[in-house]
Amino acid sequence: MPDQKLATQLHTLQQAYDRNDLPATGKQLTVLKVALARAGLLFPSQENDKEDLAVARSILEVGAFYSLAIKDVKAFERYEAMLTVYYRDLSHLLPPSPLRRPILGLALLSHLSTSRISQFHTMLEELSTTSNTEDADILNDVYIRWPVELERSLMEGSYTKAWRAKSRAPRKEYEVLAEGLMGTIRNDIASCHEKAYQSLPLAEASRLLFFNNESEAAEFGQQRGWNFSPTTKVFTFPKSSTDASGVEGSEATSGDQLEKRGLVRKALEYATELEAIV
Amino acid sequence: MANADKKTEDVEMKDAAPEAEKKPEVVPFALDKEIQANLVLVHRAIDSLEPRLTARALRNLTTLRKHTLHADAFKDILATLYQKGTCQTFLNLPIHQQLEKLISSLPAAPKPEQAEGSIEKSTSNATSMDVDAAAAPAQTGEKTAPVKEKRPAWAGRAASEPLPEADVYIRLLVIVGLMDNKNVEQAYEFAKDTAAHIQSLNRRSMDHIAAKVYFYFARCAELLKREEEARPLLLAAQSTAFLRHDEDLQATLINCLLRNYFNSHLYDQADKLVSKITWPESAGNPQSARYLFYLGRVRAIQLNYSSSHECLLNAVRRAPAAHVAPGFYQTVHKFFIVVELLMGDIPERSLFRQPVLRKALVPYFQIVQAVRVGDLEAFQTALNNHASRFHADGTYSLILRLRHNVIKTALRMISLAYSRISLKDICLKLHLDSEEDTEYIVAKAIRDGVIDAEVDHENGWMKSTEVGDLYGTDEPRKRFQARIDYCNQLHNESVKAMRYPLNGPKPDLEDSELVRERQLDIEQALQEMDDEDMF
Repeated sequence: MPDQKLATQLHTLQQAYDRNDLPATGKQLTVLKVALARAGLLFPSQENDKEDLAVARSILEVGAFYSLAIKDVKAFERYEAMLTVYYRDLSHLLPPSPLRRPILGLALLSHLSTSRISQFHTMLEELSTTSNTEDADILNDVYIRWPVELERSLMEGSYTKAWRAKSRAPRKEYEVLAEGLMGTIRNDIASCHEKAYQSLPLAEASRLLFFNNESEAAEFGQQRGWNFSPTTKVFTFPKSSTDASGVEGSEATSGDQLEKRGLVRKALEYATELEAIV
Repeated sequence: MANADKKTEDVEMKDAAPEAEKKPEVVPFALDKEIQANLVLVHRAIDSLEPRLTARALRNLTTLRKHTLHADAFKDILATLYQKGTCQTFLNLPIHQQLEKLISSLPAAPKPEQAEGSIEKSTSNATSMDVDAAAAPAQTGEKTAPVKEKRPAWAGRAASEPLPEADVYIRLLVIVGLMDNKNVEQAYEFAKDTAAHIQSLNRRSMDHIAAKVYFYFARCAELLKREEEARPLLLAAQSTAFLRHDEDLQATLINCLLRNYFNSHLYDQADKLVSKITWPESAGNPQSARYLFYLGRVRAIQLNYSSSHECLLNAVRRAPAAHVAPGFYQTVHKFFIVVELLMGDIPERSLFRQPVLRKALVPYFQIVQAVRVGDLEAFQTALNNHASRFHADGTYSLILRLRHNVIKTALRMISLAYSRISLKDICLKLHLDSEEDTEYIVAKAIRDGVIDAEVDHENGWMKSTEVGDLYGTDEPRKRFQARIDYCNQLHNESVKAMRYPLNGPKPDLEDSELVRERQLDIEQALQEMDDEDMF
C-alpha cells in the first residue's frame, strides 16, 4: 500500500529545496530518512510497494543534491551508493528517473575531483557498454559528457580547456565539485611547471595557474617552496636532487658501489639457480 | 577463415586430444560405445581413487559434442545403467523417468551404416579403453544376466543403482545434448536440478564432473539471459566449493561468475570478487587462462596497465594453441594490443602476420600504426571507421583513452628530432586546438617522463636535453635480469608441475653401480689425458 504521508512529505521537501531554503531541507531530510528506515526503504527490495520505491528514490535524489549544496561530498557519496540500488537492481520496476543522469554525472565528477581515476573509469565502462536500450545515447547526455570531457582534457594536459569547462557546468550542483577539482588541477599544473621550467616570471605564473592576481600566485608559490626573488619578480624552481649537476659526482660513486653489490648478488643468485638446475 | 570472429568462449578450450585428427570417413563414430568407454573410465577412477581418469573421460566431451548427441545412444545405456524394473530406490526412479523424458526430445540417431568392425577406435585413447572394457568383465564378479558382453564394466558393480558419478556423467551428457539441440530452457532447469543433487551428495570424486555441470549451467543461464537469477546460486556454490577445497569447481565457478559480471557490465563487482578470492593454483591451464584474461580486463579498466599486461600475456601463454581455440586467442590479443599501446609500447609487427590473427586484428593494426607515428588524424579515422567493431569487442573505451598516448608519442618523436622547437610549431604539427594548451601538454609530458626536455617560456620554445648513451646505464642489465628471472621461474614451475607415478620403479642399486663405474672411467680417462699433457 503506497504511503501517502511519505509522498506529501516529499512534496514539501521538494519545495523547500527548490526555494533554496537549505536549513529547512536539511530538517525535512532528517525526518524523512527516519521514516524511510522505518518503512524498510533504505535497503529496498523488490517486495516494496512500487510507488513507495519511487518516492524513496526521489527523496534520496533530493538528499544527494542537498548534500552537495552544503558542500558535503561524503554525504553525497552515501546517497549515491543508496541510489545505485534503485538505478541498477530495481530499474525494471520503476519508471526511469529524470534525475538519474545528473546524479551519475555528479558521481563521475566526484570520483574525478578526488582523483579516484580507476573508479571513474570503471563507472564509465559500465555506462558505455550497457546493453540497455534507453541508455544507448547516455554518453552524449550533457550531464555525463561534461565530466567525461573534463577527464579527457585533464589526461591530455589541456588545462585551459578544463578550466573553461567550469563555466559551462550543466547544473549548479556540478560547480561545488568542480571547485574542489580546480584545486587539484592547479596543483597538477604546478608540479608540471616544477619539472618543465627553470624559471618563470610571476605575471606569467599567475596567468598559467589561473590566479586572478599576482599576490595569490606568490603565496601559492611560497607554499610549494619555490624561490621567489622580489626584485626580478621571477620564480625559480628548486631542482630535485637526482638531476642536479652539482651533487652528481659524489652520488655517482655511492651509486656505483651499490651497483657492484647488486651485480654480485645477482650473479650469485644465478649461480645457485644454475646449481639447482644442473 | 570462417570462424575467425567466433565469440571466444564458444570455442571450447580443450587441449586437443588426438581425436581431433580423426577422420570421420575412416572411422565411423559410435556414440554409445564412446559413452560406455567413458563410463568405464569414471568407474575405474572411483575404484582406484585416481581423479585423473575422470578428467580423461571428460576430456573428449567436446568430441562427443561435435557429433550430435542423439537419443538412441542413450536408450540402451539408460536401460542397463539404471536397471529399469529391478530398481527399487525411490531416488533413482524419478531421475530415470526424467532422463527418459528429456532424452525423448533429442533427435533420433542419424542412422549410419555401421560395420561390425567400426567399434575399434583408431585413437590410442579409445583403444586402451576398449581393451580395458574387454578385460573388466573378468574382474567384476557380481554381474547378473549380462545384456551385452561389455555391460558390466560400464554399468558398475552394484547392478541395482548406478554410481552417483556415472549418474551425474550421464546427466551432464543430457544437458549438453539438450543445449546443442536448442532446448536451452530444459537444459537450464535440468542443470539446476543436477547442481542441487551434486551439492547434496558432496563426493570428492565427483569434483571434475561437478565443475562441468556448473559450467554448462552458467552457459545456459547466459544463453537464456537469466544471469541475474543464476548469480546467487553460483556464488553460494563457490563458497561451498571453497570450504570443501574443491579447487576444480572453484576455478570453474570463479570464471563463470566473472563472465556473468562482465556480461552484465558489473565491473565493480567483478573487481570485488577478484579481491576476495584466491585463485586455486592447481587449476588447469584452460581455466587459468580464462581467469587471467578476465583479471587482465578488470585491471585494464582500472588503468592498472602493467598488471593487466602481465595477466594478458600469461593468458596468451596458457591458452591452448592458436588453431585449437582461435576465438580466445584473438580476443586476448585484441586486449593485449590495446593495453600494450596504453602502456606506451608498440606491439611487434610479427604479431599481426600470424595467420589466425591477421584478419581479426586489421582494425587494431590501423590504430597501432597511428599511435606509432603519432598521427592524431589517422587515429581518429581508424577509430571512426571501426567504432562498431571496437564496441562489439568491448575495447572502445580503452581505445578512446589512447588519444593522449598518440599525443605523447608524437611529442617524443618531435623531441628526438629537434633539439629546439617553438611551441607554435608543435601545436601545428599535432593539430592541437590552442597554443596555450600546447604549453601545458608539453609541461605535463615532461613531468610524466615521456620526453626529456625543458620549456623556455620567454622565447616560447621547447628545448630537448641531450640523451645519454643507453649502454652506459644499467638499463641493459635490468632487461637481462628480467628475462633471466622469467626463465628461472618457468623452469621452476615446470619442475613443480611434473608428475611421477606413485609406485614407480625405484632407482636400482645395480644402476647406481653402473653410474659409479662410468664416473670412475671418466675420471681415469681425464687422469690419463692430464698425464699425456705432462709430456
